[in-house]
Amino acid sequence: MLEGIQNLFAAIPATYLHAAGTWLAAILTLLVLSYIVGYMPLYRLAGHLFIGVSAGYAAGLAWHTVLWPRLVLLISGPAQHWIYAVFFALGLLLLTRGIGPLSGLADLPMALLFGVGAALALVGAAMGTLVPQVGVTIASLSPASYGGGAAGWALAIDAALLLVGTLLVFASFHHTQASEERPAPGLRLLSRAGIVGRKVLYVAIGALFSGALISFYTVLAGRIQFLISDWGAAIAGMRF
Amino acid sequence: MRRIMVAAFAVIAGLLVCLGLLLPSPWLGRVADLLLEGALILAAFALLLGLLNVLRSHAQKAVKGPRRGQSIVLIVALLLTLAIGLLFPQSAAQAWVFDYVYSPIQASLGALLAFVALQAAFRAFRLRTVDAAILLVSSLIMLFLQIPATAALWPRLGAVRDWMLAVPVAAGIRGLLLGIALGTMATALRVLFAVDRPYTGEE
Amino acid sequence: MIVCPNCQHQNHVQASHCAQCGQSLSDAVYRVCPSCGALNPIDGQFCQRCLTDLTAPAAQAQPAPAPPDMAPEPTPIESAPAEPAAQPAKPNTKKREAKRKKRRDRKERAAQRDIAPLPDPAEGRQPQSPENGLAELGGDPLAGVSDVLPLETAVALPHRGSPPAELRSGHDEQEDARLFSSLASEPAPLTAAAQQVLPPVRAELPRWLKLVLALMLLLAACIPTLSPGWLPTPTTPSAGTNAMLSALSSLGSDAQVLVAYEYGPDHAAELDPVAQRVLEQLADQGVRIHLLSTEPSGLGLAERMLHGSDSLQGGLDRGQIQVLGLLPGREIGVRTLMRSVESAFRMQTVTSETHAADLTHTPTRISGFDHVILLGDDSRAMRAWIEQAPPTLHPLAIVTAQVYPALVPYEASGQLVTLVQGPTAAIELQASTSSRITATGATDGLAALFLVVLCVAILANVLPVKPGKTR
Repeated sequence: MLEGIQNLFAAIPATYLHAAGTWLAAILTLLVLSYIVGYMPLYRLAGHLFIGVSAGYAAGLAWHTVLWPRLVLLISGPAQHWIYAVFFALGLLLLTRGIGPLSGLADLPMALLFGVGAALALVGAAMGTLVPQVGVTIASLSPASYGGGAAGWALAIDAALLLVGTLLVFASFHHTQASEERPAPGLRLLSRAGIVGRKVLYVAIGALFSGALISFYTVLAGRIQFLISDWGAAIAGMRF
Repeated sequence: MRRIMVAAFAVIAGLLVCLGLLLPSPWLGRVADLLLEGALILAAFALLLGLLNVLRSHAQKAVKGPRRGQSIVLIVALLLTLAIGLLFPQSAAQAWVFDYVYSPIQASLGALLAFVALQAAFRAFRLRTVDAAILLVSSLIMLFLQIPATAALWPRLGAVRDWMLAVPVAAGIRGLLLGIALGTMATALRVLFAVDRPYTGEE
Repeated sequence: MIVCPNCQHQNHVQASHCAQCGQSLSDAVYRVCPSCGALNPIDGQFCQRCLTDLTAPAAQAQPAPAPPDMAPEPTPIESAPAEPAAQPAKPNTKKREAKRKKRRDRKERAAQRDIAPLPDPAEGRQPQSPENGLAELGGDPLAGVSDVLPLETAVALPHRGSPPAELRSGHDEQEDARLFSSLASEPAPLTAAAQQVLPPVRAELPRWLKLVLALMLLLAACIPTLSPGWLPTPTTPSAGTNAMLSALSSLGSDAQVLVAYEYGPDHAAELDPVAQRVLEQLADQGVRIHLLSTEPSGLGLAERMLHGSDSLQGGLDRGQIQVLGLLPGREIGVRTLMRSVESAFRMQTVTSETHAADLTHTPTRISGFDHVILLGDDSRAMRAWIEQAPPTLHPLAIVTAQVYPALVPYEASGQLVTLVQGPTAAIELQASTSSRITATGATDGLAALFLVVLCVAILANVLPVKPGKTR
C-alpha cells in the first residue's frame, strides 16, 4: 500500500507538482505578510499550519535519524547494546510529561538532560569562551611585539583600546546595579567606568542592529523576488 | 525522597560528564560518552514530546474553543507531515512539503521581522538620550560601511569598516560574551549543585 | 512612641508633629493602662478597656492582673496572683479636678515619656516594657474574647477621647477586629526603597505610520529584483572571502569536509548562494563532503540544495556527498559528535533503498576531517559549536549579517579560522548561478535600505507623532 501511494505521487508530472507548489507557497507567503496590514485571521491560519508541519517534520526526522537506528541495534544485539533499552525506557518516561498525574515520571529523564546540559554549558563556557577571550584580551601592548614602526604602534593602540573597551563594558554590568543606590566611595570609579562602558556597549549594539536590518531586509527581498519572479512565471505559464 | 533521588541523579550525571571531559581518565571518558549518547537519545524524545504537547493542547481546542478551525488545520498538517516522515523518509513527498509549505512560511515569518525592526528603529532613533544618539550614529555608520558599493567607490572605507568591527564593536561584543559566559557558568553550577531544579515538574 | 490622633501613625517619642499627616502631637499623649496595657487618652481617668483607675499611683506600680477569660500566660512582671476581672472603681471627683490642673504640665513632659508600643497581635504577645506593668495576654490577642469589654476593640479602633465602650461588642467592632487581624497578619509593607517593577507601558506607533514604514520597506525590497545596476560592485573579494576561498582551494580529492547546516529557511536567501558556491567548488575538486545539522530545518535545506544542483546531485549519487543526519540537543549533539562521529550517527547497520548513510568513508573522529564549515544564522548555535569544539579544531564560519558582529571576537582569538558574512560574500563572489538576485541588484538593495533607515531616523526626530493604543 505504501508503495502504491509512493508510485501515485511519482506518477504526477514534476512540472505540475512544481506549479502547484509555487501557487501554494505564494498564497502562504501572502497569508503571512497580511500581518502588515493588521489582518490577523489569515496570519494565524498560516502560523498554525506552520506549527503543525514543523512539529511533524521534526518528529519524523528525530525518529528516522536518531531513534530508529539505535532501536535496530538494540533489537539485533540486545546483549551488546542493552544500555539503549535503559535510555529508551527513560525516553518513554519523558513522554509522560504533561499528562497530569503521570507528569512526575518524567523527572528522571529530565534530570539527566539538564544535568548533562549543565555540565556541557559549564565546560563550554569556561574553556570555549572565558579562557580564550580573556587570553586574547590581555594582549601585549608593546609596539615591538607587533613588528615595530607605525604599524606596530597602530596595532598596539588597537590592543590597548580593546583591553580598555572590554573592561569598560564589563564595568557597565556592575554599574547597572550600583546606579540604583548611592555607590560606596570605593565603587565610584567603577560606576563612572560603567557609564562609559555603557556607551561602548551601545556602539556594539548599533553594529548588531545594523546587521539585523541587513539580514531581515535580505530575507524580505528574497520573498519579494519569489513573488515577482517565480510566482509571476507560474501565473504567466498558466493557460487560460 | 523521590526529589532527592532525582536531584542526586542530575548532579551525579552532570559531574561525571564534567570530569569525563576535563580529566584524561579513559574510564571517566567512556562513562561521559555513554551519558552523552543517552542525552542525545532523550533530546530526540524531547522532539517527540513537543509534538505530543502540541497535539494535546490543540486537540482540546479543536473540540471546543473559539478558533477550532485553526486547531483542526494544525492537527491535520501535523499528522500528515508526521506520516510522510515516518512512512516515506527522504522522499519526494517530504521534500515537497518542506520546499512548498515549511520553507515559504518560515521565510515569510523571517521577512516580517524587517517591518518589526524598522518600527523598532523609529522608536530607538528618537534622540532623547546620549545612548540613543550613540545607537543611531553607530547603526547608520555600520550600515553605510557594509554596503559593498562604498568599498568599491572608496576602498579606504573597507579598512574603516574592518577597524570598526575589530576594535570598538569587538570590545563591546567581547564584554557581552564574557558576561554571558559567566552567567552561563553560574546557572550551570546552580543546576549541578541542585540549587535550581528545573527538571522537576513543580513550579 | 506617640500615636497620632488623626491618622494613628506611630511617631518618635520626641516628635512634635506627625510625620505622616503633620498633625500637632501636643494633644496626642496616651496613658498606658498598667492593668491591661491599653492606650487611653491622657485626660481619661479610667481605662476604657478594663476600667482601672489610671490616676491611682498604686495602680501604676501594681503588676497587671489578667482577666479570667484571657489566655493566661505567666509573665516576669506578674508576681501577684491573678485577680478576677477588675471591678469598676468609684469615680473620684476631687482627684479628677486635681488632675486637670496638672494636664498642662503633663503635656510638656509627654514628649519625654516613653509610651509603650501597641502590642503586636501577629505574634505571641511579649511584654514590650516590663517596667510599665503590661500583662501577658497570651499568644493570640484576639483569643478569649468575651462579653467583657472586647480586647480587639481597644486595640483596633483609633484611640480617641471617647466614653467607655459598651460591654458587648457590636457588629462593627467585630468587623473591625477581623480586619485588624487580617491586616496584622499580612507581611510588612514595602519600604520606601523598595520598588515594584511593572512592565513598561509602551505606546504603539500609529497605524498610518506603520503602513508608511512598511511601504518604504517594500519598495526598497523590490529593488534587488528590478535593479538597473546603478551602483558599482567590488571587483575583488574582501580579505575574509579570499581567505575562505584559498583555504578551500587547497583541499585535494582525498580530503574530508564536514558541513553543518545551522540555518533555517528564514535566512536561506542570505546563505544559500554562498553555501551552494562553496559546495559546488568542493564537489568539483573531488572532496568528500559530509552534511549534518542540529536543527531539522537545516537538514531539509541541505537536501534541497543537493537536489537543486546538477553537480551536487551527481556527487550525491556517486557517494561523494552524503547526509549524516540530525544531531538534536544542540550542545549535546555537537559534543557527542566531537567525542565520536560513530556514536553520534549509528547508521552503519541501517540500510534502505532511500537512505543508507555509509560511514565506511567517514572519519570516526572529528580530527579526521580536514575542514569543518559552519553555516549559521543563530549566534547561540555558532557559540555552541565553538565552545564544544576541541582547541585544535578551527572551523570556517559563513554566517548571516545579523550574527557576523557577534562572532568577530572568536575570529580574533583564533577559534574560527575564517569568518565570512554571507550576503556580502555572495555579492563579492557574484553569487551563484542559481541565484536570481544579481550582485548589482543586491548592492542597490542595500543602498536603498540605508536610505530608508536614514529617512526613518530623520522622521523619528522631526515628525510629531501621537502614540497609538498602549500595551
